Amino acid sequence: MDNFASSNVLWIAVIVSMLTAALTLILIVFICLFRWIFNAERQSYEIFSNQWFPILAGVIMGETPKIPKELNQTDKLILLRLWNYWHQSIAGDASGRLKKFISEIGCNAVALNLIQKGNRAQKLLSSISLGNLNDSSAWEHLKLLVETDDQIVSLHAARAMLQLNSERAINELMPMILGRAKWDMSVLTHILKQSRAIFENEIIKGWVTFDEVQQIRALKLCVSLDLYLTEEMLRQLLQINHGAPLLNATLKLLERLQNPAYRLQIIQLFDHPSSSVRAQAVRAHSAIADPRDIEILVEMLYDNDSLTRNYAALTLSQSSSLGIQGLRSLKEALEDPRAYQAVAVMCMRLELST
Amino acid sequence: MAYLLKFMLEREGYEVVQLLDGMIAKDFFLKDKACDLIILDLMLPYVDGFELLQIIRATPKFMNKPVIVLTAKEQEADVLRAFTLGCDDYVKKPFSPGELIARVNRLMAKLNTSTILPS
Repeated sequence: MDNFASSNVLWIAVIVSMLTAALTLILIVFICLFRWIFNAERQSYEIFSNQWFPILAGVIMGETPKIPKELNQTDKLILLRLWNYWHQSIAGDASGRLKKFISEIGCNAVALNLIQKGNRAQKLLSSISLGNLNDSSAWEHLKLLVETDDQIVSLHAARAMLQLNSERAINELMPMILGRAKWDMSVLTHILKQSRAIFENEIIKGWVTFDEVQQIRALKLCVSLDLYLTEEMLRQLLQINHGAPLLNATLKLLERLQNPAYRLQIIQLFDHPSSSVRAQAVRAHSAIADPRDIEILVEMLYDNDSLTRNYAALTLSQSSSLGIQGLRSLKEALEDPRAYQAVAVMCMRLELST
Repeated sequence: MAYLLKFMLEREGYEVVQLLDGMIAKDFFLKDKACDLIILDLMLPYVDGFELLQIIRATPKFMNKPVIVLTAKEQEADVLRAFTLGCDDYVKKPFSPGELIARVNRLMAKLNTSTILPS
């Protein structure tokens, strides 16, 4: 019985070790295969770019190009990659010559084909290229790509649409710009930068049709794009009955704007039930504080929220009418230990800086 | 981009030495090599363009050589820093190749020699 059990264990051990060896072997074969494919691709790219760099450089310098051979689809894709890279760095007539040359040899036709039928990488390259080439026939294909779930491909397609016709693109893409939470804000900011004025105009026009989530996202984009909306809209947004997320987004915008015209409305928000709004309001008020606000800022030193207390102390420390002596006297007069601590920190900072 | 610059400048009749990263460029400047004009990118691997500019201006052999900064950095602070460190011209990408050549020719006309070094 014992012999039978041990021979079974032996068999299992042999099978397991053989399986492990086989799997290791398969892994090694795959690694070698991938390395070989990678090297072959790199080599063919190098050969191709060595052949084409002088031609593209010649086109940039205004020479008539001599195309070495009939180009197949793969060649044209590599050429598009090269061209996109140079397109980012070259301006003026040279850029126009390069764009014309790429269109003449049929690269945009390849991009138009691959944007519909290609794999993910090809679709990405095609949408970048068609945007850079200003090929307006790609509009509907790009729009289809924008609607896909792929965040990177859809954002690049949106960028291409903005390059083709920024006004139309913003108009058609606005629900997605404000609705797709997964679209990275920093990337969105980057691609909207060239169309700031149009974006601001569309935001103002469509504001009443946006829901609260869309309005918050629009305000965040305004902050990152340095846009300020109209005074009437901002005054309406500062109403104390709005929810904390909307008020916080508005206050962040006003913090950048630093317009004393909104001072009193911001001060009203010092009484908001949400601690985040109170903190953000005291912060936004900081740059536009008036000597008449010292009393209310001292009151804010007693707020339950530590961030609000610290922002109030910071504003007081920056007040020219108070000065370091005034701040020291204020600190000594404070009975609440938390308020005392907030002002003490600012006193210390002032003393260190002087 | 370095390839394009080399191609353009050689076509203009200049002799061009191409240094592909900051470390190689640093070695070049510290090892007593020579050139008449430097085209410098600011975003280089290993040693950045600002540090190279400081090295160039601190090395007797290169301290009077014209330096054109060619970069994608477009913030005012970067431009001011580059001029403070001693660059002679600042060209932002995307750039016009013809315009860059004109700037090189202008600076080279002052030197009346023909050796150029793009980094």
